Amino acid sequence: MMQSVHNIYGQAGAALMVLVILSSVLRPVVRSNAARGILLGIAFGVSVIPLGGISLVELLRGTTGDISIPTFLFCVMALTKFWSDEGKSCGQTGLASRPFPFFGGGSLGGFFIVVLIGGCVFYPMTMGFTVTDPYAWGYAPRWMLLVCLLVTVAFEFAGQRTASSLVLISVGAHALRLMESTNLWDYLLDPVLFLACLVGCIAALVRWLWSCRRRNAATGLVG
Amino acid sequence: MPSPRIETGDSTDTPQARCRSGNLQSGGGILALLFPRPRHARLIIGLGERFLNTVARRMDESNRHSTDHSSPDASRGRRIFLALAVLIIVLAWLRVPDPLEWKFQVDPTGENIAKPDAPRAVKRFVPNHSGKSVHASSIVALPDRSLFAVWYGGTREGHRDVSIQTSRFDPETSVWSPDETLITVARTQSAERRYIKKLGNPVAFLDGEQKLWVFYVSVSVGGWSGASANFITSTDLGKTWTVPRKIVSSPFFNMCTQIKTRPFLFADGTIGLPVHHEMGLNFSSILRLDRDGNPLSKRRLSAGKTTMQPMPLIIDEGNALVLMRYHAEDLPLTAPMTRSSDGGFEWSPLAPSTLPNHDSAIAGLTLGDGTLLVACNDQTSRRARLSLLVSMDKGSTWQHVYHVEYNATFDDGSMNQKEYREWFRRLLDEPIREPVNDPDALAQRAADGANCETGCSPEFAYPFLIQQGSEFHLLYTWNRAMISEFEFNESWLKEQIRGATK
Repeated sequence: MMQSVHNIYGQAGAALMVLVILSSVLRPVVRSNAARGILLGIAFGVSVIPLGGISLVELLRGTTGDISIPTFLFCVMALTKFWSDEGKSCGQTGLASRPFPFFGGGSLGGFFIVVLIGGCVFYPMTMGFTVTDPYAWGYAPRWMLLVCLLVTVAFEFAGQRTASSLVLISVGAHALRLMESTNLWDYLLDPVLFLACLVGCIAALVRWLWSCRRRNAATGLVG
Repeated sequence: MPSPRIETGDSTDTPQARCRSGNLQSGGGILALLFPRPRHARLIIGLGERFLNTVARRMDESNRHSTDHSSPDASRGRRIFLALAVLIIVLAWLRVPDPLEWKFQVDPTGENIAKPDAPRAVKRFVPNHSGKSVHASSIVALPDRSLFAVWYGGTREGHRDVSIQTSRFDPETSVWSPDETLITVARTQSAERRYIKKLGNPVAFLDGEQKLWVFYVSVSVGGWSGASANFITSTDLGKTWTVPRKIVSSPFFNMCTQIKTRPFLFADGTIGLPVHHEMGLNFSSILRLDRDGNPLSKRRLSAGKTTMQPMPLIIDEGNALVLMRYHAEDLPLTAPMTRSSDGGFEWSPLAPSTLPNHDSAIAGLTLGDGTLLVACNDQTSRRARLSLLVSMDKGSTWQHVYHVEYNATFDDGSMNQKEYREWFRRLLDEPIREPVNDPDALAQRAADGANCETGCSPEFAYPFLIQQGSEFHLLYTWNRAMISEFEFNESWLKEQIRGATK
């Protein structure tokens, strides 16, 4: 049966998530690119073959829904990093250490902060804590598009082209109706991305507080 | 350009340090109130300074790393990028749907088109040959005057073997066809390419282009709070169907969208699908769909945790009333309601109506003369009594008209299972109900399915009411053993209303 573009995108997103999770597990133990390629190929095969009538990809897609465009691209970036492993020698870690070539240089910190703040406001409102439902704005998103343009320009002038590209690609994907959803929010944001940003920021904050505490202890500020 | 940075050195003669000194003095004053001990205030200020410095340093590094404004190539690249950004935004803008017209379509079946007829009312069962537990029925009148009903049936509610069942009523023979399976978990899973755990609440609907829709919910994770809406359509009134399609209506893993009540049409032919959210909080919305089932808009009817299953009653092109299932214990135990006077764009703050309701579904419609007719469990506990009520004043007050199902024996909840089965057996012999095959077995099945922990009580619930010319059809769950239909005509209803308002 001919699959719709929406189903192909949704399944590709779920497959990418499976591969990224497996890659993270394999990364410390497999050094050879060839071995990684083979393992990723096997992992991909296993994730799309239906076992008991349902594949791992379909199972994950049923659980998480379709991932947003930024999450999809982050998964692609993570996989390219896993494949090439560049940046490690420079002592850099994380996605920002090796941006996907198409995006050019730039940090993603601003994007993560926007996602974090946006998610903290957006999800409680959509989940019923207010009568106003911001999710509804995404169905005919004229003013949201203007905001996206402003955010894109702001990221660009802040030197964060990766972030501005992510916003722009998401808007472009919405114009093409690449996903099952017709709502612009679903192209820009998803709970997986928000939770990843939340956990990442909390972890960074804890690390920073811990380092501050150690420095303060060294300078005698803390007893 | 580097971002301003707060110096951390001891020097006090730089502008930054002077600025910092001023900030610290003002900030320190506030902190001194919060932290009377200077040592604590110094610690907090120190931590804040270090955090700001870290952010500033990172921003500087980022700017130095990625932007070099002095380079002509970089400047040209930026111009190209911004031009591309504007182009994409313009293309996306052109794809945005035109602004919607907010005007209801008055249901044509609600017009007073009937010729006077002798009063008539009859109860009959919709076949359930599988003998499974059945619930949440829905019905729609087709142009050939036949009826199309859907409900879900399976081992029990929420079981993986639950499927959407269907049956047709032939007006010539007055017989429901044998029940058939319309949608299964496997079919939905295969079409939507994702794991589906269980199915629930189907709703049938005929749009203005005579396209037959069956909306239903599916769950992939968790209980009903994880539900999302799906649909299939038929352009030949149910002979053939499209593959199932999911409606994306929630940003949270597309979960928490439940359906139950009858959709309605807007004046432009788009569909208003009443939905409710069921995860942590319980609130209601109207999801507006285009003719292909794509969401166009979502208008929230309530917030918080008290309302479910919104049931719209369209009064005219601009006005509507929505009654909701009251999902809370606080008094009064009546259906919450909201009104719109601008075609459904804005809805009034939630207010209690005078319609008795406690956590059970409501069905209703607007009659040609503006009278509102609803069917609901007008009790503050249990679902043992199913009644018809009317409102002559657009929902301000409600008048009881008729008990579709009721027996005072159950009010105290003291009946044991044997008595319960015998009561059911007698119920099947009531004159208004068409005879059934093997009533003893059916009574036994109804008793077997009953929850008798605190005294047996029947369940006559989840009503779904439609009008077809001068006839009305009320479908409801009959103790999870059968789907029952109560058919009555306008003359009978008027007679009951006259009797009740005397």
